[in-house]
Amino acid sequence: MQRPLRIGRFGLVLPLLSWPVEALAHGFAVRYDLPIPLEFYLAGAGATVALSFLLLAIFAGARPARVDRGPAYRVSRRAGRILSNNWVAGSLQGISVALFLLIVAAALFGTENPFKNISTTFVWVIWWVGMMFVNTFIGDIWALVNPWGAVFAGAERVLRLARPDARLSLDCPYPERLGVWPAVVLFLAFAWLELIWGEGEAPRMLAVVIIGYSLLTWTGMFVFGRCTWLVHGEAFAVVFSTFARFAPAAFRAGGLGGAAYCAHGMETVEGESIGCAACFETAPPAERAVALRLPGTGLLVQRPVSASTVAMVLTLLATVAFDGFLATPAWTGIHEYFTELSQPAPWWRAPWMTVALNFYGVATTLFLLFPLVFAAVFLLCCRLTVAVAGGAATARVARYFVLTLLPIAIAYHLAHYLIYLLLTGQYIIPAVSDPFGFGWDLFGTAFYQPDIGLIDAKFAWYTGVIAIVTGHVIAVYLAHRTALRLYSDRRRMLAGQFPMLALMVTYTMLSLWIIAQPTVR
Amino acid sequence: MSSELQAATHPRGRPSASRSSLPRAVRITVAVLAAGLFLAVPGYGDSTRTVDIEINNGKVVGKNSARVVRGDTVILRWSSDQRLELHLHGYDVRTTVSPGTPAEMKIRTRATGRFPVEVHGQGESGGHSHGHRTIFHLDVYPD
Repeated sequence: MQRPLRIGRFGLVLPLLSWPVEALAHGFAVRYDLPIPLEFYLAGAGATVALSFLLLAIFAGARPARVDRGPAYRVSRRAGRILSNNWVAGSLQGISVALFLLIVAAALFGTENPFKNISTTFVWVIWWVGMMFVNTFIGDIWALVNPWGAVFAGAERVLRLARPDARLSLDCPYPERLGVWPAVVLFLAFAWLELIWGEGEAPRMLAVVIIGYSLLTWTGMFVFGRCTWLVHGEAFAVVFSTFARFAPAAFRAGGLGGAAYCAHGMETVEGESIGCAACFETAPPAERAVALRLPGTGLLVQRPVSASTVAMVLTLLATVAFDGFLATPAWTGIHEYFTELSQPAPWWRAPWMTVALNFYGVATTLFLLFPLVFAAVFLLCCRLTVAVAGGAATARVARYFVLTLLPIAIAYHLAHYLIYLLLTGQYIIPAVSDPFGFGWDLFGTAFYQPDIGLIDAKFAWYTGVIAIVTGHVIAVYLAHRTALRLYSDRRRMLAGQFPMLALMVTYTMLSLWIIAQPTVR
Repeated sequence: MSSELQAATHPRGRPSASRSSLPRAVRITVAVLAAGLFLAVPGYGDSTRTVDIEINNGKVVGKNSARVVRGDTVILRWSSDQRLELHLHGYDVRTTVSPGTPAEMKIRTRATGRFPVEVHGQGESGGHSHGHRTIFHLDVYPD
C-alpha cells in the first residue's frame, strides 16, 4: 500500500542517473545491516547453551539400538514423473540457458555501471545468494536448471541426431582419488573472486569470469563425461547439492542393486540413492521419484562421506564465516596493523601499492588459513570423540559427523544475507526492464528505486538470532543421531557427543559474534 | 510537522474518511486518538539532530559514526581540510566538501540500517580498489 509512495519519495532523493561509473564500481557489495544489539546477542548465546544442555538431558535417555534407523522419507512418484517429463525438464533448461545467454550478453555489451547492468545483480545476489536458499529450503533445483549441464546435454542430443553412435565426450575414466577436490579448488577460487578480488562487480570482468568458467566446465565434461564432471568438478553443482542435502525434497533413484555407493559417489540404501541428480537422470523412468523428508534429515548418512566431501563442507563453513569476518572491525584492525608494519615503504613502492599488497596479501592468507583452521579444529574434535568414546578411527568419525555442522552454516548464511538479498536484490526490478542499461523500459519498471526501508532492522535481528539458534538445535540433534548410529554402547554414545557439542556451541557463538559486529565496509 | 509524516500516519485515522455519515463526537474522538497515537509513537517525532564531522587528511577526527532513531531528521555537517566528494549510501545523498566551505547532508530517516559514507574519486589515498573508503557510518535504529 505504501510502496508507490515510497518509490515517489526516493525518486526525488536519488537522481543518480549520470553518476560516474568508476565511482560506483565498488559500492555494489555495500551492506546496510545493523549489528544485533547486546541483548539479542546475550539472548541468542544463552538460548544456545541452555538448549544444548536441555537436548543433552533428553538424549541421555535414548537407547542406541532403538533409535538407530535411517532418515525417514516419503516417496512421490508423481513428482518424479513430472520432473522427468521431457517438456518440463526441457522448458526449465531452455529458460535457464536463455537467461544465461542474456546475462553473458549484458555483461559483455551492457553498461559498465554494475547497478544498471542485470548481470551483476543477477549473478551476485539473485543467483549466488538466492539459489543457495532455494536449494537449501526446497531441493536441488540447480541440478534441474544448471545451464552448463543443459548446454552440453543439448549438444549431445544434436550430435546423436546426426550420428546415433557418436559420443560428445571422451569419457576418460575419472580418477576416483580426486573425489570432489576439483570442485573444492574451483569453489575456493570463486569465493576469492567474490570476497577479496571484488572486480567481479564490473560487468566486463564478470563476463570474462563466466566465459572462462564455462569453457573450463565444458572441457571437464568433454574429457570425463557430463554427469561425472557435474558431480566432481562443477563447483556450483557440488556446493548447491551439498546445501540441498538439508532440503525437504530430493531426487530419488531406485534399482541400483547392492552397491554401497552409486556410480556418482552418493551412498545408496536398499538399492536406491537419495539426492543424486545424476542417478535420477540415468535411472529408468519407473525408478525415478522425489523423496520428501523433514528438513535436515538428509544430512544424516548411513555410510561415511568421502574425504574430499569433508574438505568441501569444511571449506563452505570456513568461507561463510570468512565472508562475515571481512566486514568486522577485527579485520580492519588486522589490516591496519599490517599496513603500519610495512612502513616506511621501500622507495620503489608507492603508498597505494602498500595498501593493495597488504589487502590482497593479508586477506588472501587469512582466506586460505580459515579452512585450514576449521579443518584442524574439526579433526581435533573428532580425535577427542575417539579418545572419550573409543571405537572408530578419527577420519571415520569426521566422515560421519561433518554434514551435521551444515545447519549452523545455513542459519548463519540466512542471518548474514537476508537484508542484502531483500535490499540489494531489488536492483533486479529495474534491471529486468532494462537489462543492458541502454535506457529501455520493457515492463515499465525501469525507474523503480530500491526501497531501503523494505525490512526493518528489528525484523532482521529476530530472524537472524532465531535462525542461528534453530540451526544450532538441528545440528545438535543430527550429531546425536549420528552418535547413535556410530556407537552401540550407550555410555560411549553419550560421551562421544560432547566434543562435537562443544564445537557446535563454539561455531554458533562465532556466528552470533559476527552478526553482533558493526560492519565496517 | 511535515506533510510526509502526516501521510505516513494517515492510515491510522482512516475511519474519518466517510466524514458526512459520522456524528461529530466520533469525528473529534478519532481526531484526538489519531493525534495521541502520532505523539505516542516513540521516536517518530520530528526531532532534528545535527552532527558536526571534521575530516582531517581524509580521516574523520573523533567518533566515526552517529546513532539516531528512525524518524529523526539528521543533519551531517562536514568540514574538511581538502576537497572531497562524499556519498551516503542507502539514502544516496551526495555532497562535496572543500576547505573553508562546509557541506551539509540532511536526511529524514525512514529506513533502519547502518549506512556508510564513502569518499569517492580519491584514487591516491587508499582503499583497496578505486580509492573508495568508508569514513563514517550513520546508524539508524528502530524505535
